[in-house]
Amino acid sequence: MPQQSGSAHESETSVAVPFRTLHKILAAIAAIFFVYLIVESTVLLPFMLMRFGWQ
Amino acid sequence: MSALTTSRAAGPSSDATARYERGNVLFVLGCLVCGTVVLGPIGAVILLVGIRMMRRAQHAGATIRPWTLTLIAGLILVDSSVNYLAWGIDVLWSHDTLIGRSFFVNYGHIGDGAYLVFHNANHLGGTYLGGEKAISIVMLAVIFPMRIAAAWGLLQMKRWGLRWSIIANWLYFAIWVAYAANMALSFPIRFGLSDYGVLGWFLMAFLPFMGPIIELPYLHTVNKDDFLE
Repeated sequence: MPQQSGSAHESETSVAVPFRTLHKILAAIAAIFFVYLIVESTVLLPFMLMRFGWQ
Repeated sequence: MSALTTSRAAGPSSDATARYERGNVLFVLGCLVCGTVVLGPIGAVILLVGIRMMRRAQHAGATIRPWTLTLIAGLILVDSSVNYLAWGIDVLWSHDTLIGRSFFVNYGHIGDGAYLVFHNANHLGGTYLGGEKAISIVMLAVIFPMRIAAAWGLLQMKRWGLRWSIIANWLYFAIWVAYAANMALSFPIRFGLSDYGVLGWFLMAFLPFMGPIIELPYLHTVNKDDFLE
């Protein structure tokens, strides 16, 4: 993986200024979806089995 | 030289970089294990440990991949892993197992009646609807292996990872439209027979399918020069 050496620093991709705002919005939505998927994959099967039982 | 490979004056400790690499491996592993559903809680723990290690490495001086990129690639990985397993269970013999049958018949109760009635009734097993089975096969054999490999390349910040993430996400989007149309065309059987109808399907299967709508704008606007050939 390409990495910088240096002080504590998060690499930033060099995007045009309008896209930085877009990327922040997309990152926020992606974070919500990411958490949603993690929670879904964690609780889905137990919920199904409690609600409908084994088939 | 790209923005991500520029050297800085003070180098990070090799410990921090090694910790970041270990955290990255755990992050990928956690995303994939989360997608197994059965081991979902274990995957979530592995994932959180990986993120914590990467954050600690960042504070210790390692320069890391942009978090937005990590998030986007992680979203692709979890989404692909969940769907790959689910479609795989439908297509392959695992639809006959207790867990496979329970997963899909219960999914039929929640949102899609095509998995509830006549499940495992025809020679192929799984759902009896031909259109749904065709989508299952293309998801299993083409799109999700491609997306998982592309997300791995994206996490490595390779140019091929970026290119194939774009291709695979567009393919996914196209199939998403076909899948939604397929669902709507069989509305009485699919939504009508399920306990939660459209809401159940929306919460369980529609939201995960919306990934490309977020990922494609990012992938198309990120600077490709930051990715290595």
